[in-house]
Amino acid sequence: MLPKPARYFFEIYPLGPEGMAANYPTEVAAGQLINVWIGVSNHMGRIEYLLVHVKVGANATAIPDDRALTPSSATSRKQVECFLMDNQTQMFPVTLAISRPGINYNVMFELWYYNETAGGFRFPWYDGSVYRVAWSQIWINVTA
Amino acid sequence: MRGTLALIIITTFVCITLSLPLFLPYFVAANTVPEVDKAIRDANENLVDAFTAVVAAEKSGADVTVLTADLNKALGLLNEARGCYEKGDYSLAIACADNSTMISKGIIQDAKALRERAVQEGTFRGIVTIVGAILVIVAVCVLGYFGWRWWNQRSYKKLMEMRVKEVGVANSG
Repeated sequence: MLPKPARYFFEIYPLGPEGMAANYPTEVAAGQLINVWIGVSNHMGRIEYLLVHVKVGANATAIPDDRALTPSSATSRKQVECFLMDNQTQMFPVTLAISRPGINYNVMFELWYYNETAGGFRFPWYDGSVYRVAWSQIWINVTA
Repeated sequence: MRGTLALIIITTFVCITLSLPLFLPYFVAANTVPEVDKAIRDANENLVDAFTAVVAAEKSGADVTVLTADLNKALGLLNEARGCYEKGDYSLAIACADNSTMISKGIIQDAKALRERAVQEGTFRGIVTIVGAILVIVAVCVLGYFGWRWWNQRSYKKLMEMRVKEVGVANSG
């Protein structure tokens, strides 16, 4: 018998090319492949069907809103799906390239989960008392 | 003249035969796009159904570790099918999607069986708990009753065996 967790939550975090929280790409040439890893953890007390949207935005692009619980308006460049049991963590390699040079590109990683009642993936999740969103980002300068 | 005509016919036939493989995928693809769409859609729907079945099984207390691995396997095949579809490899896309559907259907059946077993085990555990509690209560009552009787008898026996002791009698003579 295990006690019920007080709060339910997801985790999402980017990792460097070696799968460690170090050596994050900060400057790449236009068109050069950016290799990172994404770690996802499920602590919702049950199996979950998860989807990670990888979005690339420039300075002006809206980042996900933690208060309004809305995702970024940038279009999704990549999607990674997986099923995770409770207290399970999974890491995925993500490779993408940015073709236009510029500074302060933000590569955003949004975690969505499958809501059976709604019949689709949803961004905000209920932690037992309030709704929350899980997302992370890295900043990259793209040189010509 | 007849020889030239035969040569033209043979040349045309050879040209058509040789160029057929170049155009064949186009014609085949045109015919199979809806089939691939349907196969991928079916695989997706079955995967969601399998997930729902696994959630229900887990809720009833079943261990869904193996089913989760199978779900990821079905998802991997579905993603492969989508990739093949984008590349134009429709036959492989259909094969992957069908495999994914097959695994998902297997998961649904396994999840149902696991759920039923978990429910039965839960019911059995409940019955054992209730019966065990009743047995413990009855045992405590019986032991308490006999213990009380034994204690009473012991006290009574002790009382009956008591003798009067003369203490502090003054010799007045």
